[in-house]
Amino acid sequence: MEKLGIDIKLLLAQAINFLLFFYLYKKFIAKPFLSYLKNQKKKEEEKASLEEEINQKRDAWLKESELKKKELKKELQELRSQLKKEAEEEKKKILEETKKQAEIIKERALREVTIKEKKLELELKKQLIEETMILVEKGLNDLLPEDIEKKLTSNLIKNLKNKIIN
Amino acid sequence: MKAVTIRVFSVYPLSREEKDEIKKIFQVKNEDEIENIIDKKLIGGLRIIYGNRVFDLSLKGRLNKLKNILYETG
Repeated sequence: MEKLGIDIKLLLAQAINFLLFFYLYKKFIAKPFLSYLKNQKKKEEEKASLEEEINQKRDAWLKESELKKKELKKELQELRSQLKKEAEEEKKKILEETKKQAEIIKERALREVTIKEKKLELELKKQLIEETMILVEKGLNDLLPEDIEKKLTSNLIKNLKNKIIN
Repeated sequence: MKAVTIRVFSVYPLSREEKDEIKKIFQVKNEDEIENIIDKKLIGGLRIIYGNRVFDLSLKGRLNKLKNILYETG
């Protein structure tokens, strides 16, 4: 061995040195590092799992939300349609009521106009009679000769007895 | 003095004969009991008030009656 240039003692010391180094490396460096890596991996996996769970929940929520949205939309549409129908019915009712009221007002107005017309007609007749009488009185006063007036009075006195009895 | 019992309204003054005729009809003897009042508004004829009775024989009265009939029928 010495001929080959290998020092057994040195080799042994180096081997012991290596073993010692290996032992220390394994105990104080490799083990904590591996443990740290393991932990990190575990954390990564948990994180991924959590993310997956969150994603699933989000998808489920989105799906449910979409469903609810659709239902709500449908309900809203139904409600709108119902409201529209009710509004139409109300409109129809109001229109009919308005028509009835208009008819009543029209009839009342016509009645009032007829009454007014009759009143006016009566008033006109009254005025006509009054004016005719004034004219007749004036005509008789102006045109009736005195002798005829006297004759009329005389005749009246002659027939007075009969008139009084009657 | 006796109170007037007959009031005769006429357009012109009545003659004695006419007054006598009226007195005879109403059986009045005394001249003071008849009073003749001139009323041109009567147009023609007579209007006699005897006690509480009124005899309207005037043209004005006739016209008033006619007016009332026209009012009633109108």
